[in-house]
Amino acid sequence: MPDEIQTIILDSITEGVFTVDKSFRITSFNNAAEKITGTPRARAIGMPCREILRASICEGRCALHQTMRSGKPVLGKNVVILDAAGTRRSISITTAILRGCEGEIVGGVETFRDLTMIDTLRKEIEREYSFEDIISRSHRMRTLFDILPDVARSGSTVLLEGESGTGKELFARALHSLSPRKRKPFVAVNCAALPDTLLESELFGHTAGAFTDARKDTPGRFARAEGGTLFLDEIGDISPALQVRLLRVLQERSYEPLGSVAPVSADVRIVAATNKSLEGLVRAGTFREDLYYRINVVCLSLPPLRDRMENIPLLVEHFIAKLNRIQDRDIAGMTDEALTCLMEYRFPGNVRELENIIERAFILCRGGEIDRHHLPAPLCGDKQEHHLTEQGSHRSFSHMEASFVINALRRNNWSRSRTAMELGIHKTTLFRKMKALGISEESRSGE
Amino acid sequence: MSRTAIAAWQGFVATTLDFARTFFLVDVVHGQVKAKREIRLTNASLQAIAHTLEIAGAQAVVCGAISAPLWNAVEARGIRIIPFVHGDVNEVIQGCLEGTLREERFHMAGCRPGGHGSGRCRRRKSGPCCG
Repeated sequence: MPDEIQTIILDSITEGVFTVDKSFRITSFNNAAEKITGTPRARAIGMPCREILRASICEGRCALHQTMRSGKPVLGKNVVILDAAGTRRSISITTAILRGCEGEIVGGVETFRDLTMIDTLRKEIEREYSFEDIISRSHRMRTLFDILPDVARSGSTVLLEGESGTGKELFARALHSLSPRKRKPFVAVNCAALPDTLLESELFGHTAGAFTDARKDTPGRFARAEGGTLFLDEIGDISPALQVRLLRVLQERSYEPLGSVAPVSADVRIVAATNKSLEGLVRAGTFREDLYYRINVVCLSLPPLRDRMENIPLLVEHFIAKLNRIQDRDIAGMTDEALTCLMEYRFPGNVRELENIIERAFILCRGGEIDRHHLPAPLCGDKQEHHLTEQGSHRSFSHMEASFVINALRRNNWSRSRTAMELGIHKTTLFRKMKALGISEESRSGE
Repeated sequence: MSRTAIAAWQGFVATTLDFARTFFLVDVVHGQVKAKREIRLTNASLQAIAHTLEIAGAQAVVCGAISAPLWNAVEARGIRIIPFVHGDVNEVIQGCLEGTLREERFHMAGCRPGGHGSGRCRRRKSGPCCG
């Protein structure tokens, strides 16, 4: 078959296909391969395939190598690759041998299917998040990341404190997926969403006849989470009566379903979360002190988004990429002006609010970059409009940088050493930056 | 003294930092290599890679491709990333000392020169990266 026809056929299929010679240098590379790897054909041809595919198995357990050595194909092996933009993509690969006219081995062929969309949707549906799904580069979050694996392995009860939308459930899921209980269920309950009587039945289950309409035994969330993790969100909202029952489960590792007198043992790890100060509730007498100490074995405080504004560009980039994948769109990014608006906003709803803002902008933005007029009105009111028009796009970036540095200084009570440490830069770099942006001690007097 | 980590595989710079298991730690004093030792990772997670580089005292890491989450994890630890490097480890160390890593022979294929929004494909700045 002529080469041109072969190329047309290969380019018409949606699976990535490339061929290599005996030294694993790429000899052909179809359209879909270009799209999945992000590498143009012209750059890929002649290169070692591992430098283009960058798969988790390239160095050590290469499937093509295995096929060319054993003569046997590898079918549907799932691996992770890095595309040219640095995005990790899940793909499924299949390999085969290429033989010449005499039957001699002349190279290999690898076909691969992009599973990123399937993987994203699976994660969305199953809400199975890992450590790597928590997007952050802030110093405070990094400290949490460092201890998270040890906390997860410990099996201790964990209390997550943080405002609404700071990612408490994401952390709880990451704790579960890093723990030895990861193969068992993760069950989440929002304690504030149900009235007390229903919550009791929901948590502990009930037996037939326990109350009107209870026609059969129904397992509760504790039973469903057996061997796994039970995430109790908004634990500060549970009633004193339920606090007593929960305390008993934590102390005795057993409970009685409603209507039953036989105790059921519970092998469940509790991760609790609250957006209130439990310590404050204890002082106010609305939360039992003994339960507080039972829950508060390890306490992780998640900082609000306004205290880690350096994460905003990163989160924006993440949400744009995620929505582009899910909605099959091609939004290029966000303009400096729009980013400035976001950097000046306080985000009372934290990361969830930011995600909603980006999702809204996706509806309004038909293509290109998300601009400030795609953001909700409170974020880009007249005041900012005047300010931005006056300064222009170049200066708006400086302004954004200045407000970011000032926010960091404020958080650290204007200590340059602590601020530099938080930003991960040397303090002389911070000093230079402050000077260039016109930030001085006088800026503080305006507070 | 400066300490640079080089992600390696069979004597070459590892293609992808995310999947690298071997690192050379190179100590440089006044432009001279004073020590070079090898460390191997058993834990494969991204956080483990970033954490190991930090506790090993690396100020910079020379690598091939790198994913966005690992980039963030490494950068958050104040470690400079010198990405998309290709070649023999010893030649790369020499390139680091001489400030010649920008030369074409050290460039990895597949990176879009001129950069991408996220900055993952930024080219290296000139000047030595060790010492």
